[in-house]
Amino acid sequence: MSQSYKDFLDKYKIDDFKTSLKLTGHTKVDFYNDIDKLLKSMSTIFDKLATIAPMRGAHVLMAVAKLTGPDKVVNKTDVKNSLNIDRLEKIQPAIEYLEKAKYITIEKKTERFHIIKLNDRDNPDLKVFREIVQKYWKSPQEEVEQAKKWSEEG
Amino acid sequence: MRNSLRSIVELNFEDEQGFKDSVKTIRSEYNKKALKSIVYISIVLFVGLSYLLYGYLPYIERNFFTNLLVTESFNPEGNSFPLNLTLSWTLFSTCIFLIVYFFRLSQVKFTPSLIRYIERETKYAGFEFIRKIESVGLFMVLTTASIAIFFYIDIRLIQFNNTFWNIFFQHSFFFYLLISLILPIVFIFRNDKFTIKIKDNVFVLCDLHYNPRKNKKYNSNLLGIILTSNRLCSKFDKSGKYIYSRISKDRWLLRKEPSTMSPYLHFEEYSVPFNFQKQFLNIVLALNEWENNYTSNLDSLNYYFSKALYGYNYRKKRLEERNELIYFKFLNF
Repeated sequence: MSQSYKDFLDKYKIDDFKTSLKLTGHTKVDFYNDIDKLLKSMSTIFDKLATIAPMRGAHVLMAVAKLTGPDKVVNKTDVKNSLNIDRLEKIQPAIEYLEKAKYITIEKKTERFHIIKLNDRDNPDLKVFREIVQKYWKSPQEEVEQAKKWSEEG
Repeated sequence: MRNSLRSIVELNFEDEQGFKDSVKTIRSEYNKKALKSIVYISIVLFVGLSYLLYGYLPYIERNFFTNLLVTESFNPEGNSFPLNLTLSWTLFSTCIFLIVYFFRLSQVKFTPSLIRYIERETKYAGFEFIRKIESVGLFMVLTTASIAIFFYIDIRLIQFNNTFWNIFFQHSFFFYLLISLILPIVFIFRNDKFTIKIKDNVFVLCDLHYNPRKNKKYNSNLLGIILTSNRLCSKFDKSGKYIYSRISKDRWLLRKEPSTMSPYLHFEEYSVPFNFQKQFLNIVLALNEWENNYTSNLDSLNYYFSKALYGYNYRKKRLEERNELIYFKFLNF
């Protein structure tokens, strides 16, 4: 099972144009699992980078990406809950920063109800980011639920 | 924001200004705490020395010349020890314990507002931040027993002569006194810690990595909280070490070689205040994984580390499990 992009290319000879890519049976499953592992590693890296930065901006962006969906409306409270934060003021500077840097857009429906969206029009890479985060990243809210459940078991 | 009821400042690490203000608050609280400890140590020393001078000076004065002139006749009034054993021991042991206790307290970098901050973050994650003070209880128990024996000696309910059992008792009692003095001090350094209880026998220790005296400049990673799990297993346990390495690698936990002093494995994680909850959850979930794998993964570990049992086909079982896992993953189960 390859864990590096280079190993992945070598294993399936993807950059060798003389050999045609044949995927049958187990190879197909292996191929899928290898891509899966690479994307999972990327998600872990996003998460770790988010915890290194002194501001919460990266985590807010990941929470918005996690919550965004075709039929979903995401507001600041949803982001706060997803990050398991007690007060909205804690994420306010991060949201302001992300809006200024054009990573998110904020639509003010009323004075207190603001819809947050990923700005994938200005940053097309955010589409892949959203797909990876939605599939592999566990939000702090999900982690708290898992940890609490385990703590109450024993 | 200042909490008017208990005058504890609410720390904010969400932006640069908030971080600077919070570090200033922690530094000033730490200095106040250290100053308080010094005052308490001085008071304890003053009380101890006063008692010593008050009790000993008349005795030394009375016996100074008698000790110089060697007289054969025994003078019971001049040589009798004037101090009450019970009171002397109580004062002596309490002074020693309190001095070490306050000295240690001055070194502990957790300040009231930081404790409040971590308490709140931990509570929000569904756990409880506790300060364990085991040394005080142990000191009370051990000293009460020694005081009781000294009291019986003082009122002459216990008397000594030169029989074997008497000498044995004297030596044992002397040894006990030493233990009752040393053990609580060891507990002050080893067992009085800030912990977060996860479940029975599972906990996370918190230690602060911060030097308030030297670091005067702003640094976002200035204030670090080191989270250490409870003991996992012996570092000589091959299977345990394998699982430990795998979990640490997957969760990006700190991987330090265990010291020669401690032959046990522990998970360790580093956090700064703003990501405390996230990092804390990381170590909790690592402990969860540890519990799930270490207790129930013996079959596959036997496959890796032990000689195969006669008539048991580990390889076959492992391949079956692997195939199953691949297809489940492929189907997104």
